[in-house]
Amino acid sequence: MDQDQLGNHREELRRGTVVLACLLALREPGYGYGLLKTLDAAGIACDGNTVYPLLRRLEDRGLLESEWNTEESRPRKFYRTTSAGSELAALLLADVVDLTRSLHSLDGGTNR
Amino acid sequence: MTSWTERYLEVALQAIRDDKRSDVERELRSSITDAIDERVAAGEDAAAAERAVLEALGDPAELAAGYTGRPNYLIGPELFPLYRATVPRIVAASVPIAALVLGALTSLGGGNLADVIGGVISGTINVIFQIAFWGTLAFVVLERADAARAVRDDVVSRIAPWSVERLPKPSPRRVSARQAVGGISGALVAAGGLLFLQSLNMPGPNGAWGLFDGPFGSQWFWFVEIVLVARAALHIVTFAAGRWTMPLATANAILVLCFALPIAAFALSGQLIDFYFADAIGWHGLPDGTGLPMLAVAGGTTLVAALEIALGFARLRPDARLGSILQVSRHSA
Repeated sequence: MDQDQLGNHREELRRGTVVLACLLALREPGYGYGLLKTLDAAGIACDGNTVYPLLRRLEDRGLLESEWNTEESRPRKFYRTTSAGSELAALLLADVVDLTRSLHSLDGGTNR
Repeated sequence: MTSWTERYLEVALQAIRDDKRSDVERELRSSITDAIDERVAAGEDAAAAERAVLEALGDPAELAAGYTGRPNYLIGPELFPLYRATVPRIVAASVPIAALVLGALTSLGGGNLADVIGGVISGTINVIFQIAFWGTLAFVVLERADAARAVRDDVVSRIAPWSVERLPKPSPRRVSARQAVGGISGALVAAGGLLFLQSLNMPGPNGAWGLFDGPFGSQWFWFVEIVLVARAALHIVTFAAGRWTMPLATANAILVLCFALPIAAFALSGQLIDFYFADAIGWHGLPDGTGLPMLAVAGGTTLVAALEIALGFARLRPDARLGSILQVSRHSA
């Protein structure tokens, strides 16, 4: 299997799920770098250059809200999923589950 | 904090709006520092850690594009169909016109034929680049400039959704036998007519003078004759092929220019008709390039040539019309 090709297809496949992953993860408040670590630990590898601007855009659309935490030694901007964001995340998650089920059925149920 | 991060932030923040810049800077700075700290805590050298973190974050210009939402392309998918339907067509339509106008103008200047042809070629290339450049620039400005946003949205709203009307016609029109015979006989009649004109003689001061005994007759008459015969051959080839193709239409355009340019240039420089011949028939002003007859010859030749070239390309493929891409009527308020 051509590694470049595999990488490209994986990237394509994951691109649409980054938004969902962020909305789900940020139901617990989190900041930029911490979120990257959380996603990485969950097996969803993302780049900062994708996630940092994305957080701003999701905030602009009212799916996330943010607050600066200046109590610790380093000030950090914490994001939290809004109720609109949670609603959207639930719908998208249901879609992903359906999609996975459909793909399995196309696979003929051979996938264990 | 060393200079790599500062320089990175400077580039990344340049494009961010003033009211958001300091907030984005504060957040990016803390994200970068978090990542560096973790690498250093794992035992990495501070400078190496900083470098690795910034390189993982990637080109700051791309990061900035993520924040601003400004496109990293020149012309986006919404405007591109309109761009492709207009600019190349305007360029294609302007080539024969530019070539003929430039040919007429440079020959009016009285240069020799090599100058005229050189001027036409370089001038036409210049026109192609100018139109392509300014046309593309207009679309780029429309795509990106904040001030043009309202215009852009209006243009995009007029671009109709794709419909089956935009499909090209099922099969390119076949060349009918009548069209082929018309084309072939047209070229041969022109060649024969020129031969007849060349055979005209008038007794002059030193023997008989032919109509084309001037510079045109000695240098270019047979070239023009060969070009006309080649055009007849082209019509035969086109009939055999069954339809006009891009190479055939291009060959047609080149042959038409090879015919029209010498005649127009010689007419305007006063060298088409031999002036001894004109004296002999008693029409002294006939060869004069600024006189009405020669202007008419040059103008008529130019007009016919422009039509012939346009016709060759028009028969190529009746493509989707601009009207089906732009929904002008729906917004005719």
